[in-house]
Amino acid sequence: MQFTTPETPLGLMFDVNLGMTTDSVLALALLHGLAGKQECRVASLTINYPDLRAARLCDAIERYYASATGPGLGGSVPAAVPIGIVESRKAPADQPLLARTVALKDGEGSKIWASVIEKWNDTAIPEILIRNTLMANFDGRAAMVVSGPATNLATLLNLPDIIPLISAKLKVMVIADGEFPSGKSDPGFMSDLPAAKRVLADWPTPIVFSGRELGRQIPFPGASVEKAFSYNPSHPIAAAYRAGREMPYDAPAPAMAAVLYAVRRNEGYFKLSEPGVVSFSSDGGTEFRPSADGRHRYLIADPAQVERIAKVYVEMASAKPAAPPPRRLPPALQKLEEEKAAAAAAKKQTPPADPPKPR
Amino acid sequence: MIITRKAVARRTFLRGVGATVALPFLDAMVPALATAATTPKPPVRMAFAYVPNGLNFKDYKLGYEGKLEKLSRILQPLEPYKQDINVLGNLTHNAGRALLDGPGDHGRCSASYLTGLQPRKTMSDIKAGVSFDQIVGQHVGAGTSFNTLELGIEDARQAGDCDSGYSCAYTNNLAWRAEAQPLPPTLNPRALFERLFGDDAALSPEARRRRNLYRRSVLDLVQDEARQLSRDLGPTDQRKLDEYLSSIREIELQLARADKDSISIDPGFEKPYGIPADFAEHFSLMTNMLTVAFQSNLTRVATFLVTREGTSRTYREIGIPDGHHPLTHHRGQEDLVEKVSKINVYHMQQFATWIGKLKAIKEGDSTLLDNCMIVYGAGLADGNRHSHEDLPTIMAGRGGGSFQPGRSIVYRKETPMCNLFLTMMDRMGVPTEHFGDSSGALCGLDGLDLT
Amino acid sequence: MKTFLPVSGCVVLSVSTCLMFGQVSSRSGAAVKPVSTAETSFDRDVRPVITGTCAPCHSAALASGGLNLVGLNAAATVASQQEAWEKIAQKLRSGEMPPKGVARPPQAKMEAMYLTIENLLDQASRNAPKDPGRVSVRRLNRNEYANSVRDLLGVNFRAADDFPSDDSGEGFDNLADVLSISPLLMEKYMSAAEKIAARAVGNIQLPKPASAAYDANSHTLTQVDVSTSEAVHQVDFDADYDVMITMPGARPGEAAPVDLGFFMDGEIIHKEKVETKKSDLVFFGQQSETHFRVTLPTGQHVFRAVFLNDPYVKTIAEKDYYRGVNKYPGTITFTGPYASKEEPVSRRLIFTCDVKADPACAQIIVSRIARRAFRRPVTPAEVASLMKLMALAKANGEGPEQGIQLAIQAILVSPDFLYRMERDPDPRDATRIHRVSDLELASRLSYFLWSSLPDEELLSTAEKGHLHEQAVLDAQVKRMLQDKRASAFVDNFAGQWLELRNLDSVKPDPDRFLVWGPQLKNDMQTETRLFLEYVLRENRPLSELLTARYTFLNERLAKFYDIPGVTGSEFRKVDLTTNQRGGILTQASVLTVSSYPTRTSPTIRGKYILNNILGTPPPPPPPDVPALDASKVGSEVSLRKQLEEHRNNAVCASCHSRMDVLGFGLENYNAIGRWRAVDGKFPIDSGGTLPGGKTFTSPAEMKTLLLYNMPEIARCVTEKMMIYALGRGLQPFDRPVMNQIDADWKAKDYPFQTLIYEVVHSLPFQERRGEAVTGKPNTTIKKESAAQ
Repeated sequence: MQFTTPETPLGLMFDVNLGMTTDSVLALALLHGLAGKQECRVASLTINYPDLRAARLCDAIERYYASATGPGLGGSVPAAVPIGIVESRKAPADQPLLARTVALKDGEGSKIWASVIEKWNDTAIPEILIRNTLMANFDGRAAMVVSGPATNLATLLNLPDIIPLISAKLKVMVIADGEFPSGKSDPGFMSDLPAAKRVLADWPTPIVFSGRELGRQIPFPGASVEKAFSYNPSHPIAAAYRAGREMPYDAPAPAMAAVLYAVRRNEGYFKLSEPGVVSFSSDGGTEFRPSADGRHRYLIADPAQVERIAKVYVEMASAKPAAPPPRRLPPALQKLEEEKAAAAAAKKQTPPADPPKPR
Repeated sequence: MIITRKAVARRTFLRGVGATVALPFLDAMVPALATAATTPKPPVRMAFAYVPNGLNFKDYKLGYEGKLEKLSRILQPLEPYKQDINVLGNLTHNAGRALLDGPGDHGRCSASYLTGLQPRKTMSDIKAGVSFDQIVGQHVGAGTSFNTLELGIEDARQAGDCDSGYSCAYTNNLAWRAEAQPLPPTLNPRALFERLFGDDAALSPEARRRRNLYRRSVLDLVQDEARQLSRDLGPTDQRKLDEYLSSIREIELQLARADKDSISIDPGFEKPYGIPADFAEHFSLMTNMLTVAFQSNLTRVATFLVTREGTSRTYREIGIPDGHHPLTHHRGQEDLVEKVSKINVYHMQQFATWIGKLKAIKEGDSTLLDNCMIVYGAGLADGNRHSHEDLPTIMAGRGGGSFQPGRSIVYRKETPMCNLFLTMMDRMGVPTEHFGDSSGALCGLDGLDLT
Repeated sequence: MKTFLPVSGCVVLSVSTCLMFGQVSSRSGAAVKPVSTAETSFDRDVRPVITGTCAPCHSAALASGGLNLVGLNAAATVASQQEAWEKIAQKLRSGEMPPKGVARPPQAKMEAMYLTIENLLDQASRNAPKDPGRVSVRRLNRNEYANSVRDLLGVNFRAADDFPSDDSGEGFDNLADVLSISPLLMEKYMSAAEKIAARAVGNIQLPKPASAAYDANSHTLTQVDVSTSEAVHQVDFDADYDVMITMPGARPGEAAPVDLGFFMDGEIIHKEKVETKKSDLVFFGQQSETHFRVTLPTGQHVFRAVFLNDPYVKTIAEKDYYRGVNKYPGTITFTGPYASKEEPVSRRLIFTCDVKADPACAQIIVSRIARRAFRRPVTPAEVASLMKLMALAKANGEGPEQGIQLAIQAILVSPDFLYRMERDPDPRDATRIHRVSDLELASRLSYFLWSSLPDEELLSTAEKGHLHEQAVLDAQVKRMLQDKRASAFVDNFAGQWLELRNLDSVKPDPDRFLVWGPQLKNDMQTETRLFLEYVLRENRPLSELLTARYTFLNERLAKFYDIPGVTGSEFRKVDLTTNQRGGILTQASVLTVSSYPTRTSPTIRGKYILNNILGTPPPPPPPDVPALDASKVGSEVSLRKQLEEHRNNAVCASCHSRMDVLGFGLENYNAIGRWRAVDGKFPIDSGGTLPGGKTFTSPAEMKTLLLYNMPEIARCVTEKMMIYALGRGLQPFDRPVMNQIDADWKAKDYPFQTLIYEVVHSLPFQERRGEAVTGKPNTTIKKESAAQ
């Protein structure tokens, strides 16, 4: 149909418990940093716990990156890509960190978290969003990173004919959770245990785990925050970080590791365990049993790399939003376009062509 | 006194009413002394009216949920029927999107609209999928003369490519009987009339009997030939011959039905002449006949391709000499946007008139409209941006009482349009687990509050 | 992979230089200069530009336009990844790449690179095993059906009225893969077969005559112009009808009589002199009438009553047209049907012996008709089963003629008639190549040139098994081209290739173009048809399509063209003295189908030339392309100015620079092809500079420049004709054949008929193969069929 381009940037699908942990927000920032360097695309964002505030947080961060990328998309906030989130009519469980983050009122606070999302139907059905995104990617050019409950993945697996689609499209699947080779930690991925079991049993592709221990061994250096994000006093990521805990603190970063590994697999940042089988228990226990035909592995921190990785974390997570890759134009034409758009924008402030949204 | 227990046979009854419209479910047909309980429940009918090139969104969107209050400019014509429609938001056809196939949104959205499948991008070896109206038709068509009806207004384009490498077959047709077999809509009111009510009203019963006998023997003969021919053919040729054979069988069925009920229904109006130049008149001719076809149970499933995706049809009668499709790529230019809205409204007015007709017809203690699911839909949301999410979708009718119209229902983003199809299949009595890219039936139509 | 063939199928296989190279000595595939070795020339001519100029955008990361050049770095890849290289070659040829804003290497380098890639592609395809491709079973389309019925039974059946329109692909409506059968169509076939068979044997009992009147007051009649009234009437029986025409008004004094012509679907079927002075009929207003009887065929027809070349109206003021001082054709009334006197042609064709007297006769007739209809000898078994129907009719108390009628009915819905089927020794072995049988070849020929079934001579020649002998074959082609049925080739091939059919669907704004009307439209169609037919039958060189110094006109069209000295409504060959007109690009038909209803569009016209003449279609536009402000055109800014601004937009520029310049060359012709010097209040500037740097200042000069591109033009026509002749889209494996034809045709300097012979001699026309059996999975989710 069209040329299969083996090297098109990986489409990364992030299923995340955004706002539950500082790590989750940092990982999203890292993802945008790498996307800015055209090393990958942010293919889809789905949130795996039912709290609309998380979707608003996500929307705000997306709009920050989109609007900051200038006239490439017509000089306005683009028609926002829908954000998927698992729906629940029940009142959401208490999320202290999320609450603190979105409650920010200091200074730019209210502006930082501006979002168009008000109701469930301002958001997308997560499993459908993931399925449709898979279909829009070349075979073997999609990647998935999961941080948080397996809920969305399980519902995804319920869709008909989904298995062949996943196997065809997905190049790498990384789950940020667990203690390896074995141990206990507070439940994340397996906080929805039936879902987690379903995924471990039925997921068609190999899975790489980025464990909590790894996250602790290579945390995000909190000391760097103030300097790294200084170029924007109301940087949502920095704001979220500050809200996280008494500053300064180092945030454990398993999700960041997961994203970094998914995008830069060949950089040798991490070592890989031998193949095996991972099993979970409800109390947060993780068990890794080596076996030749196992389809699970976990990342192992390489002491030689720790410093380098921490630097990449800071540099990429705090990277200035970059212009989006040209959609159909080579850079030269893109430039012409941008100049035009800029000129046009300068001439008259046309209101952004926002998508119609229920008010 | 004597009470005859003889119910009036539908046939004789229809003869009786002569020029007036036949009302198969009229109480007169209920056996004498029968109680309401034994009244035959009218069947549910479904139809799609498809409009091309998206709508002018700012004049279409309601911007609120729940009970229908003030209607938008484009929906305005439906004001009198507020209580009979649901306006559905955020339904999405992923198969209409480029995915990996590049430009051609018009070709794609039209071919995927009822099939839920992304069509193959080609100008020769076309491939879409079976459209769901056909599946329904095959299941509920038994008691009727036609499993499904395909109607249209705009003559198919004569020559040239239709959309960025998509065959014209994708935009000329809405219904697909098999993945490579689109069903061309009937455009000429006269042709539709003759198809529905017979071009042989003059024939004596004897002559008709003989004709059907001849037809059957001719069909037998050619069927044998076809079977012999289809031996040792390549896969594609095989498929072509199967098309032929299955079409033959279809006609044999029609003949069988014709024998059972060998009188032609009198629609109660003149046989139309040729193709009217006026859009509104053409629209009403076609919908009048469709209404009678529903009413007298000639069919229960219909698709109506109002005009074709990417059409450049002009609407001089409302002062628009410019082509519809060129207009929709207005880049926000006010006068062009205005013209698009005018066209959208004009289409909606015709639709509203039809809804009015359906509502005016009594069926027992309900109306024909109550027993219908009439979808007014577009394959693109915003014609300028070629967007495939939040497709304009209006559901008129109560689907035989299971719907609670009168509301604006906004679903969650990415909700597959095929979920609506699934729900409709269920109401048509063709329960289906999965169609196209559906993820489950659509809730809310029955009145359940989603907000 | 077919899907990769761009719009119009005209591009992928094209192998010659193009506009961007201006006047370069062009080459065609077979005449390629031999390259030293693939590798060296690739390293010398291709790799530098690829890496230097293209790679930055078509890189791993960007992969602009979905093309990534990583891996396309060796001569070998040209063969291994033909599709990619075909596309690259196309972009280079069209001049689309490198795009504006990217440093372009010197012309010579670009050219060398392009030629090398073409060479390698040609080598690749030459080394590929020969492949005739495969055409699937073909259903007769509407035209083919109608023509076949006409030639088989002498019944004039208008399929267009009854059958749903055929879908088209690659711009043609005779593609095997696209033509399908639906139950609706099958119904139509059934009832059509009944009607036709009945008409053929003349077995129709006519009802009592009825009248249908068409008049202006009830809006059933159109006063096309002062000399013409028109009505659309449905004729329900082949029979005679009384036609009455009332003519309101009267001309003063001893006004001269005038010729009244009565037309059906544009053809005159009755002509008589009518008085125009006061009549003695007693009415409140003056009026007269005339009656005549004509034989009409079933179907919906357009009827016109016309005062032919009537000098008087030219002498009176327009305001007096419909006043007392003039007489004009008005109301048309049909009364009928009445049994026709003369025996219909069909009966003479069918009843060659006496069915009532001679018992053997029926079988003779039935087998003869079946053989012609199936385009092959029929087996005794087939005849037997047809004769069973005869018996059935008899059993139902009907005569032998009705029996034959029933047999004909069956023949007309039989798959052997409706489908053109070709056999393979092993239909599922794609490697098994074989020549088609003489009989199959005969049908290929007749449907190619006549859009109809083979006639007796062709059929019997095939039966004798000589048709594949070239001498015999050529003799038949020659004969068929002379036959009048060959005009079907012009109507169907040219009609679609040049999009002339769209003339019936375009609707120029009557408020802007007062002269536009059904008659002018027909005249436009007729001009181009006669012109192409002339080029074909006289075997004129292809170049005359663009530059002929003659055309075909009647008075109305000549006036429209401001060409003096042509009087009367009949068309005749007219030599052109000025260079305002000449060739199809300056014919009103083409100029009209390539315009908007309200105004000209240089873009559409340019695209038209690229698509249909040069065969280098531009890529489809992106969504949300800015529309022109039609209201402004010709008022505030000139159209040209607007388009040039539009073109400053970089996205648009890369293609529009190619399209618009050609369209501007035709700006002297308005949206219905009339010559003009100004548009609105702006003088027309029909000059331009082609990407190659060649400049022109007028349509005539542009056409001359186009002639530098004979190779593309020839290639485009060849590919279009190939698609039409084969009934399938072209594939990369067809490239060698196309190159061969290029070479041979060029050598003979492009006489039109020669191309037809070339096509007929070509591998894919004469041979076929089995079908590769593949189960290509589809990444979208399979739909399931309904439950239970």
